[in-house]
Amino acid sequence: MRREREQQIAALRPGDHLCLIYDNLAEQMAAVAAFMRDGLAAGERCVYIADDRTFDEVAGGLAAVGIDVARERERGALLLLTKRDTYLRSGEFHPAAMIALLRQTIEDALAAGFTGLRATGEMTWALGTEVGCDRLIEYEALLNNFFPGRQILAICQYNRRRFPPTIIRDVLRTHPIVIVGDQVCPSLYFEPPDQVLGQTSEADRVDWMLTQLRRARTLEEEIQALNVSLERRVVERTAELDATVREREQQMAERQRAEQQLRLQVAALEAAANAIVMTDQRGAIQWVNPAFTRLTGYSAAEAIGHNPRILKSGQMDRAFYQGLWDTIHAGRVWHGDIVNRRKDGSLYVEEMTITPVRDTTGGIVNYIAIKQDVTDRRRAEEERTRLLAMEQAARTEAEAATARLQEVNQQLIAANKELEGFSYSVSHDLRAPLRAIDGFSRILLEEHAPELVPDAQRYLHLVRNNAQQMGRLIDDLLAFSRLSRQPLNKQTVELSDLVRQVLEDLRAEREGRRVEVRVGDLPPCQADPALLRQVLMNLLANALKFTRKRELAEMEVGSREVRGERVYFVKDNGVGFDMRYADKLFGVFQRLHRAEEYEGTGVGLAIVQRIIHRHGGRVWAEAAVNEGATFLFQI
Amino acid sequence: MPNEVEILLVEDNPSDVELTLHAFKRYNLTNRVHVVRDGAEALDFIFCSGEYAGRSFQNTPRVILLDLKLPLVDGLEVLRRIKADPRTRPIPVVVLTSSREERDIVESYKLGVNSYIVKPVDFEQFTESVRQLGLYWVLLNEPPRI
Repeated sequence: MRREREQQIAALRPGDHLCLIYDNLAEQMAAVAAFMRDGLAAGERCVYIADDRTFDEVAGGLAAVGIDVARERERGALLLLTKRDTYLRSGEFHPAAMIALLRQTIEDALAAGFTGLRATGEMTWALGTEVGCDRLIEYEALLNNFFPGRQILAICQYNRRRFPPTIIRDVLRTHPIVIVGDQVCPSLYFEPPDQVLGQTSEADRVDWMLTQLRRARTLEEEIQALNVSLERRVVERTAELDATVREREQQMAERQRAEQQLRLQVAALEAAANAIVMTDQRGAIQWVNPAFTRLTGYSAAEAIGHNPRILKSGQMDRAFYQGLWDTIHAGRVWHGDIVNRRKDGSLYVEEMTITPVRDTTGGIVNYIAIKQDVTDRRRAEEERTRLLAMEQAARTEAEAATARLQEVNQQLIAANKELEGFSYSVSHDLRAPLRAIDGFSRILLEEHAPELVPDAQRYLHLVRNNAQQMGRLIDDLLAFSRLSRQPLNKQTVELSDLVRQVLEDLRAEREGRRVEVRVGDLPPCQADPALLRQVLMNLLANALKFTRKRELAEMEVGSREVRGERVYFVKDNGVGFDMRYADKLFGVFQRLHRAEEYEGTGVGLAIVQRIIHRHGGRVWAEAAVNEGATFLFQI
Repeated sequence: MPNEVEILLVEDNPSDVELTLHAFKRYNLTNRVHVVRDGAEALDFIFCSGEYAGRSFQNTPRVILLDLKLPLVDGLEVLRRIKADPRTRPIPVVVLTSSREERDIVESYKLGVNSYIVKPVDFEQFTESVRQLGLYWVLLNEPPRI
C-alpha cells in the first residue's frame, strides 16, 4: 500500500494542489518525505514550511527516505522555513500577498536553475491567530486559480486532531487531490473557487451537484469499464504470458534436446575408434579424442595448440604436403595414406580424411581430420598382392602345363590315329603279297605238280608255310596293337562261364588226346569280358599246346586268396620252362621253345600281359623245365 | 545274250585279280567276269557313265564282287552309291575283305552288303555265297556257251 502511495505521489505533475489529512507524525512524514525526495530528484526547489514540528523532526523525517538534508539545504534545493518567513511575513496574512510571494518564489527557483517549485506547509500556523479560518479557505480556493499551468505543486498539511471538522470539510472542498492514509485520491467534494467563495447562486450549486452526481456515475462506469478492460487485459496478458511461458518451455526443451544431442555427439567422438583431430584455420590443434592419443602417443594436452606436423615422419616429400594443403585450402576434402611418426618415434601408416569446416559466411574456420592406423591392413594387402601374384604365377604355370598336356594329348591322339591308319594299311597291304605268294604256290602245286621234282614241291610247301606263318604273325600283331586302342568295357564277369566257353572252343585241339581239366572256385570279377576271354583262351591254348607230349594232360583253372587278394591261375603238367627266362615270357615275339616243336607267333602271352595291365592287374608265371607251368594273374 | 556281264569284279591288286579269275576258270566263268580296277571305274560301269556311257542299264551284272580298299573311290563309298539308287539296289554285292577289321564288316552290313568273302577268294567260299544269294543256278550251273 505504501508503495502504491509513493507511486501515486511520483505521478503528480506541476499544477497539482493537494491536501494531506493526517493523524500522526508517521503518517505525515511518510507522505511528505516521499513528495520532497521526488522533487529533489526532479531538480525542483523544495520548500518545507514547518510549524507544528521542529526543523529537527522534519530533517529527521526527510533523512529517513535518503535525503541528504544538509547538502540539499546548502545548495539551496531544500528550504526549511517558518510561518514568519512566509504566511505572516508582513505580520498578517493576505491571500493575494501570499500568492504574489509564491509567484516570486517560483521565478526565483527557475532563475536559480531549478526546474520548478515544490512546496509543503504545516497549516497549523493558522490556528490561534487572528487570521481566521475564513481567510485560510479563501486562500486555498484562490490557489486553484493560480496553480494550473505553473511550475509549482504543493501539499497543504492538515492535522485532523488540531483542526475542527468544519475546516477539514472546507479543506476537502478546496483541494482537487487528497492524501489520506495510504491513498492519493481525487476529491469528490472539490468545488470551483467561485462556489467556495459564495459568489455563485444556489441554482449554480444545484447544477454543480447534479454534475457531480453524473460525474460520480460516469466515474463508476469508467471504473467498471476499466475493470472490464483490465480483466480482459489480464486475461489477454495471462494468455500472452502463458504463450510466452510455453514458448520458453519449448525453447528450453529444444535447447535441452540440442544439448543432449551435442553431448551424445561429443561422447561418440570421444568413443570413436578412429582418431579425430580438430584444428583452427591455421592448422593449430584445438581438440583431439582419446583414439588420437592411442594412435600417436600424444595426450590431448600435449597435442592441443600444436600443429599436426609434430607427427611428421620425414617419409613424405614436400610435394605431398603441398598437395594436401592445396586441397584443403581450396575447401575440398583430402583423403589418402600418410606415413607418420608416433611420440615414441615408431612409424605407422595412417589413412586420413581431412574435411574443411566453413562458417555461415562460407569461410573456412576449422579442419577436421579422421585418422586410422592401416599399417597392418597395408601389410596384409601387400601380402595378399604377393600371394595373388604367386597364385597367378602358379596358375599360369598350371595352364602352361595343361596346355602342354593337351598338346601331348593331341599328339597322342594324332599318333593313335596314325597308328590306326598304319594298322589298317598293314592288314590290307602287307597281306596282299602273301596272298599272291601262297596263291600262286598253291596253283603250282595243284596244277603243275607232275612237272615238279619232289624237292621243288617241298620248297613250294615251305614257301606256303612261311607265307601262312607270316599271315598269322600279322594277324596277331594287329590284334595286339588293337588292344591298346580299344576302350575297356568293364563289368561283372562270371569267370566260370568264360572258362566253359573257351574249353568248348578248344574242343578241336583236344581231339584224340587224354586231357583232364579241373575247374576250381572262380569268383566273379570286374573286367572287360571279351578281353578276359582272350586271356583265358591264350592261357588254356598254351596249356593244351605244351602238354601235347604228356600221355595224360592235366590242367587246372582256379583261384586262391593271397595276402587279401584274389589270384586266378591256370596250371598244367606240360613241359614247363626254365625260370631263368621268365622275364622274356611276356615279350612280343619271345619264344622259349622251338617252332618245329611248338608252333606259335610269340604274341599270345604278350597279349595276356597287355590285357591284364590294362585292367590295372598283374600276371606272372611259376614253372620248372618238364615240371609244368602255372600262370597266375590278379585283376 | 553274248557278252552279257554276269560278274563285275572290282579289284585293284593284279595278283588278286589273277588268283580270282583262276579260281573261276575251272567253271568257265571267266569270260563273263568284267574287271574294273578302281572305285571310279566301278561307278562308271554300274551307272553307265564315263567310258561306259554307251552301256545299257538293262544289262546289269548278276553279282558284284567288291574290294574295299580301292584307289580314287573306296569300296564302302561304291557300296553306298549302289544301295542308295533304286535302279541298282537289287544287285547283290559281295564284299571281298583282306582283313578281319571289324569296322569294315560292321560298316558294310550297315550299308546293305549281301555277303562277305575273305581273300584270297577261295572258290568254295565263293560258291557258298552265290548259293546263299540264290544265283547258284544262274551263274554256275548254266551250261557253258560255246
